Amino acid sequence: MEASNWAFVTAAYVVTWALILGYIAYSQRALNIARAEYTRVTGHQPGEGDAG
Amino acid sequence: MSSAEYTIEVPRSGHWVAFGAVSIAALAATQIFSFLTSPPDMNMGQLEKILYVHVPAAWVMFICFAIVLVYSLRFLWKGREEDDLLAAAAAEVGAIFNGLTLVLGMIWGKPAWGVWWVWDARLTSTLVLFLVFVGYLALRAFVEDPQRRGQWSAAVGILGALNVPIVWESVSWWRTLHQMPSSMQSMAKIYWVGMFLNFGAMLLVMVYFIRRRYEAAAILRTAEHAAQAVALGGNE
Repeated sequence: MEASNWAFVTAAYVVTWALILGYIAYSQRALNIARAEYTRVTGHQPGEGDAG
Repeated sequence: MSSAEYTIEVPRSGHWVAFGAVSIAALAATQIFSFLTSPPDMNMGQLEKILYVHVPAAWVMFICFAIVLVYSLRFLWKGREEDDLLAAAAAEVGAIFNGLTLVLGMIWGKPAWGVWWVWDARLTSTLVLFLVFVGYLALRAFVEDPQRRGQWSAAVGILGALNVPIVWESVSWWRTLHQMPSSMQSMAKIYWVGMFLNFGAMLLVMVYFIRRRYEAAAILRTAEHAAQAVALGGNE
């Protein structure tokens, strides 16, 4: 029982970290795409020459 | 609404990458701390260690949907596009933590209750909340007009967030299988210290996630405005 409980605990932490690291990768990719699109349209990178 | 009426401030990454690294390190550190300091529970054994991720994920999910509520109302009131983008970022992150809460609950439920899933009031209402926000994100993907997209998703976001008190109170109102909410009174100090530390770290991760998603959405939206202005022959 104890050994199988450890399997569930391990599964829970693996799922948590897979989701967190996966979402970081996904959001970084989305950010890169947005920056590339911004640069393509405006001719400069976000933050360069913006009012904001 | 024409593009000329909108000016979104382009967010800068600044120190947010470092903030993200600190958040992730804090989460790892609090989890290690909890593992090292908490003894097996009398009834649950080592399964109590799942609560250090399951309960904070649920609390963070509630906070995300509270942010959706506030910024959706603000968008409907003021019509600022930044509020809509922020609500959408919080909704997506909230859905992520909502899904995590459900999966972790199932992983805990199998050894504790003997089943992966049961149509208990808390589980069912949490699943409904998840489906509402998946619907919210699907709606945003299908509506092209930004103003209409903002208004419709704000309405769905507000309705979804109003479901949060139902999820929270479901264990008291219906008293089905899920135990009552964890509290300082119901747990030994060593357990709730670990839980609150993990909650704090997960809260930092949530802030980082929302900021990054907002940053990407705002940059993309600004690019769309610029492209629109060029197409219309404007000089923005």
